[in-house]
Amino acid sequence: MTTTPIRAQVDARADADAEGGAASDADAAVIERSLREPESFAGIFDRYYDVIHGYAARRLGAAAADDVAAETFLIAFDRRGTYDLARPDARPWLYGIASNLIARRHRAEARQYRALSRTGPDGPSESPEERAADRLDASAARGSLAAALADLNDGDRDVLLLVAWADLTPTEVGEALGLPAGTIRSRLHRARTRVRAALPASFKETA
Amino acid sequence: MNDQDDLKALDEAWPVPAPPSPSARAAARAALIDRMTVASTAAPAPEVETPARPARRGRRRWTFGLVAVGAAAAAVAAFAAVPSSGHRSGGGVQLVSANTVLDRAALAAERRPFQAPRPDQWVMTEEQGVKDEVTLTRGKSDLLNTTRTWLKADGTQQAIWDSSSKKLRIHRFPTGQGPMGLMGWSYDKVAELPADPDALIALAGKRPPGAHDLAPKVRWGVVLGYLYGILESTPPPALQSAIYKALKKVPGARVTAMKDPVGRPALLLNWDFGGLVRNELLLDPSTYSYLGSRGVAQKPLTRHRDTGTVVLPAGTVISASVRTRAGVVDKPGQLPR
Repeated sequence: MTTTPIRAQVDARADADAEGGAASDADAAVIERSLREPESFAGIFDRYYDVIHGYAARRLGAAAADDVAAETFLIAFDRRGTYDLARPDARPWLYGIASNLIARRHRAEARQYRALSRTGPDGPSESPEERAADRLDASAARGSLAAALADLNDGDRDVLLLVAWADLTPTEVGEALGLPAGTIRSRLHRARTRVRAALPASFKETA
Repeated sequence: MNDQDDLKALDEAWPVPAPPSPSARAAARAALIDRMTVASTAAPAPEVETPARPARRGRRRWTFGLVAVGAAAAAVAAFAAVPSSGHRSGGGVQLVSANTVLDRAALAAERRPFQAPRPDQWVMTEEQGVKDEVTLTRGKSDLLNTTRTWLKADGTQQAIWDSSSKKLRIHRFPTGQGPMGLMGWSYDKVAELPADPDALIALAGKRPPGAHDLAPKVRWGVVLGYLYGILESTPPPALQSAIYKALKKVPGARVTAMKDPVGRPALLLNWDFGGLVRNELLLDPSTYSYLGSRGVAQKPLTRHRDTGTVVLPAGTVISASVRTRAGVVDKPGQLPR
C-alpha cells in the first residue's frame, strides 16, 4: 500500500508514560464523547480511579479515600459539560475535584498529621512491612514533616501535596485549583520553606 | 541540600498507599454507572408528547452555537453546513424510509472492497470534531479541529498526532487492552465480534454484574452508542453489515438529507428515545459508508460556567465528529492513500 509520510516525531516521554495508560491526549475526546454517550465516562474512571484513590489515601487514609475517590468521579461526571476540552489531560481537573472534597475533611486530615507528628516513624499507621524493611531514612523525617504539614494552611498544603504526591506541575496545580500561576508559586514557595525548615539535619545530609 | 529534597522527603516519608480494594473500586464504579444511567434518563420526555413544534426546532439545521451569543454566533455561521434556503418544513427532505437506507447500507457494506490489516499494521483515522459548547468561550479554531490517530491492529499501541506540539505521541498497551473508552476498538478486537445483529444488540445491552437493568429507552440509547463505536473503528464487511441490520432493529429510526459539518452530502439517521441528547448517525448518500455521528440537545440543557449559567437551546449540536479519512498503513504517522 502506498502511504504518505507526514512530519512526525515520536515523543519518547510519551512512550515512558504509556504504561499507566497515559493516552492523555484522548481524555478530552473521551469526555466529549461522554456528553453524547454518558457510558463513555467509565473510561475516565478506569484510567484514573487508582491514582486519585492513592492521593486521597495518602492525605486521609484508605477508608476516607474510598469515599473521596468515589465521589470525585460522580462529581466529575456531573460536571463533564463544563470540562475545558482544550485541556487534553484530565488529571488536574480530577485532582482539583478531589482536593475540594479533601478540604471538606481538613480537620480529619490535620488530626492525622498531628497524630503522626506525635507517634513518629513507628506510629500506628505505618505498615508492618515498612517497619520490617526500615528502608526509608526519610521516614525518620515523617514526624516533623507531618507537624509541618499540619501547620500549613489548607491552600498551601493543597498546592504542595499536589506537586509532591500527585506529580502535577505548578501550572497543572493552577488548573486543578482554578488559581492564577502567581498564587500557586507563592503558595508553593511558602509551603516549601516551612517543610524545608522541618527537615531533620540527618535527612539533609544523606539525601 | 538539593533543590528538590523537601519534595523527595515528602514523597518518601509517606508510604506509597496500597492499591484501592477491589470492593471499594467496584462500589465506586457501580455508583458511577448508576449515575450515568440517571443521566441518560434524566428529564425523560413526557409520555404524551406536546405538539411537535418545539422539538422540531433545529432538527434539520446545524445550529452549532448559541443562538444568542453574538460573537460566537458570527464565528459559527461560517460553519453552518446546511443552507437555510429551500425547505421550510422542519424535517428537511424526506427521501426513503430509514429502514430502506439501513437495508442499502447493510448490502453496500458487504460489497465494499476491504483489506483486513495485518497485526503489525495500523488503522489510521482522521476525524474532525465540532464542539458547540466550546464556542461559548473560545475562538473559531476550536469549532472544527482535526484529530489523527493510528491504532495498531493488535491493539498494543496507539499514536495520536498532537497538532500543537507537531509531534506524534505513541502510547503502548502491552496486553493489547488499552482503555476501551479511550482508544476505541482495535481491529483484532473488532474482528472477534459476532457478525450477527441480535448477538450485537445482546452484547451492547450487557450490564456489569450488580448493575440495575436499564429502562428500554435508555437501553436502546446504549445500543446505539455501542454500535456507533464499532462503526468508527473500520470493522470488516460482514460486521459492518450486521451493525446496519442491528440498527434497523432499533425502533423509531428517521432519516433526513443534509450536509455534514465539512460540507459533504449526508443522510442523517436519528432515533428519539426521549433522553436529553439525541444520538445521530451520518451516512454517505451514494455509498452508504459511515461519515460520522453527532449528539443534539433534545431539550434545553443547563451548563454552569465561570461566567455564569448558560442554557443551550434544544437543537444545539453538543458534539459532532466526522471521519474525513481512514485506512490501513504500515507505520504510525503515515496517511492512507
